[in-house]
Amino acid sequence: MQLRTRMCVSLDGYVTTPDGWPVQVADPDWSPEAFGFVDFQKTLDAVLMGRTTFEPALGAERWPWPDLDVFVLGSRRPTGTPDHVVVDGDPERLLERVRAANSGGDVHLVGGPQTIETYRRLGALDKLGLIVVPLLVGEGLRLTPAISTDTALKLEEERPLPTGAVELTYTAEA
Amino acid sequence: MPKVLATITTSVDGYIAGPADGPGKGLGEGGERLHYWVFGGPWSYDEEPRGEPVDEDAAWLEEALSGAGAVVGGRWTYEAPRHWGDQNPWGLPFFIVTHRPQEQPAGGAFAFVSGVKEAIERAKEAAAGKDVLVIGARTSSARRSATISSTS
Repeated sequence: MQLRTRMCVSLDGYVTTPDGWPVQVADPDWSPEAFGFVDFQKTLDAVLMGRTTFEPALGAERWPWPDLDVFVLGSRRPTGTPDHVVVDGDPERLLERVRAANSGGDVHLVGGPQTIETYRRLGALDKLGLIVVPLLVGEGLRLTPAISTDTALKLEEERPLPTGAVELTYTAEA
Repeated sequence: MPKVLATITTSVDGYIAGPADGPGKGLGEGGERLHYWVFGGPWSYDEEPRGEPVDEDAAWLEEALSGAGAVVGGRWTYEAPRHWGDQNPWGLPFFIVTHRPQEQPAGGAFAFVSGVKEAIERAKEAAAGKDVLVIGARTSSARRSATISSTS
């Protein structure tokens, strides 16, 4: 079981648009297929994320994670959360529940930067995956300082995606 | 076909310098990390001398420089390293874009030019068929704006 991020980021370092949407929606070539998310999901058992990242799924047309276990780090269970979603405010306890439910597939740490930092600090983040989209958005949420700038990164893999985005995979030390 | 190439180093979180960049500290506080790759490992503004790039870093720099016939930079890029002790560090015609071209130093190591478009044109001429390298963030974006306004 590997815990990994696969977060889109603009060339100028923003993970959201100024309106707070994941930055990839500003890319006219965005689709889950083109960005490799459909293939990525096939490698997963579960998704793990913070409450702010989770909540938009409740109002979405399509549930984003069919056939996956869903774990949310949060002290409140949002209204309308489906029964199968596990919500827990304690990051270590939540991680134990993720591990207990795991049957060998990877776990996608969806975000946001604060939740990524929480698990990095616990030594639980196996891969920091980023997809750099060829956009300059000028404003939005940044990776840092939520993720510690003392983090030692080592590039493991890079590959271009068909749309002109570049996928970078790092290991991040605790 | 010769090109005008702008390149810059950026951190994974999207910064091209640390805070408080200025003369003697062009990369800002803690910004030396951005150019560890240029000097073959850790260095700081407080320590001389600097190391040499190695392996893929050296190969990349060699390729970028060997294809270049001239360099264009901004006034800030010139001032931050205190103009390299008044020696042109490139060994190539080096054009500095500045509002104060009359301040061009004697000796001919640097050519001060008052506009980005003119600097690029003179650099292309001096490059004689080779590429023009543009360094420095504001000069790179001014170059892009100049292109947009000339084609609209």
